[in-house]
Amino acid sequence: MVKNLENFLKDQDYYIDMYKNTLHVFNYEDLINLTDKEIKLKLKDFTLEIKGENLIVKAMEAREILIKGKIFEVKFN
Amino acid sequence: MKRFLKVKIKTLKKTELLMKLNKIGANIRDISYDRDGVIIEVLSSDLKKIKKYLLSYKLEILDETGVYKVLKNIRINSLTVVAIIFGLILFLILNNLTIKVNIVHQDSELREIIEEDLKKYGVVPLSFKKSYQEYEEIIAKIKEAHKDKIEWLEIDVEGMDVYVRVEERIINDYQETTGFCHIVANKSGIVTRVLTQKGVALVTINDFVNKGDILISGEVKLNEEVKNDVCAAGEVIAEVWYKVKTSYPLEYVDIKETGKTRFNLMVKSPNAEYVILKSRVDKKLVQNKLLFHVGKWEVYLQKESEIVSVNKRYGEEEALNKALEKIREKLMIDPEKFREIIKEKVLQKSVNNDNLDIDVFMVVLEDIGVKKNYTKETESDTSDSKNNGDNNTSD
Repeated sequence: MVKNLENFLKDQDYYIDMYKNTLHVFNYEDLINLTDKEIKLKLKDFTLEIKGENLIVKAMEAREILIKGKIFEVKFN
Repeated sequence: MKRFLKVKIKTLKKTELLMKLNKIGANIRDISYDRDGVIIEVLSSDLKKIKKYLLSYKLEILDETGVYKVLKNIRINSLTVVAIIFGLILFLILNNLTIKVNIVHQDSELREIIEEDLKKYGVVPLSFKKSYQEYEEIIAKIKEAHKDKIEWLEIDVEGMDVYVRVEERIINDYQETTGFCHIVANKSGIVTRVLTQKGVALVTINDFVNKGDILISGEVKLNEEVKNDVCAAGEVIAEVWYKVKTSYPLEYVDIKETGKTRFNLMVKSPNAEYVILKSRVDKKLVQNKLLFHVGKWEVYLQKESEIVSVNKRYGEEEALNKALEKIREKLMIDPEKFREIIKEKVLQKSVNNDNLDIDVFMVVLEDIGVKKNYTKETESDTSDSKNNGDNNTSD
């Protein structure tokens, strides 16, 4: 709710929060690929590629996703 | 409020399942991975979607979450919860209940007086305890009502008992001895008994005395000479004759209870009274019993007893007895003076306008003495008057 409001006020297309072994993506459009080593997310203008080990989806809603695991690499394609 | 359910979806292809869940747009709050499936917290509305689109998966609802979990637990343990609530209510009631009211004083009369007053203010067994402030107010009211009897009063609450400790006021009933007085007759009559405490009795038994006669003199004389002056004290009982005329109505209204009772609740505020249920009894006697109070609001259990009133008429003999009773009550108005009625005789009786008119002759024993002050003549006054008298004579 707060995030939605913040997004509306700041007019953000997306945002990606990265913590230790956690990645929070807001406003993703689609989940393209999901394995324990790689997760691919489609955002508005690019694809987000997350590579790592033991990657799991901890929470998943229509517009946001929380990924946990050992993250080695985050790529914007 | 959103209702999330904890659901286990059995599958070995967990990532595939998550992809599918993503495709159908299910909101999943918490995902944990089990050996043979995925445990998710999903909205109840989304669960319907999952059931609709993911038909091949085996779903198992494990639990509720949040408030719904608490409600579910309460539902499951309803008996325990009810028992706890009932226990708490019982505890609160017992904690605030007065089982016994002990009035600590050896004088039973004083105990009864205080008990009556405590009843009036709702301090009775099986009633709710009052606040310290309310007890203080009750103490003040009782002390005010019995200024002459109570020196000190204290209400202590010890557990479920209320202890009322009283100190009796002892008034030393010393009579004023200042000034000099005679005991004089306030009514005419025949003396039957003389009791002299101070002074000299001037009447004896069987003497007829008129109103104003000195019965016990304050002047103590020896050989016709006043040796001392006191304020006479004592009592002189005499037979006093009365001729009394009275009238008593022959018709009266007899009120009887029909035995039909109804209970109601009445809320009393400082300014008004509100009866909760509509009364179905036309004529009634109402008794109120205080149940509890919240601040200045009091809740009473009201017992309404239905009554019927019937117009009745006394027989002549019955009316005569009632009229005599009325006269006797009037004669006994001053209990300190009144002793007994020794004779009564109806002289005349007649019925006029539904009233019984009677003339009665009564002989009553009563104390007819009242104090009357007098001033002592000083010797100088006496000598002055003598001198004046001599002068006047010579003039």
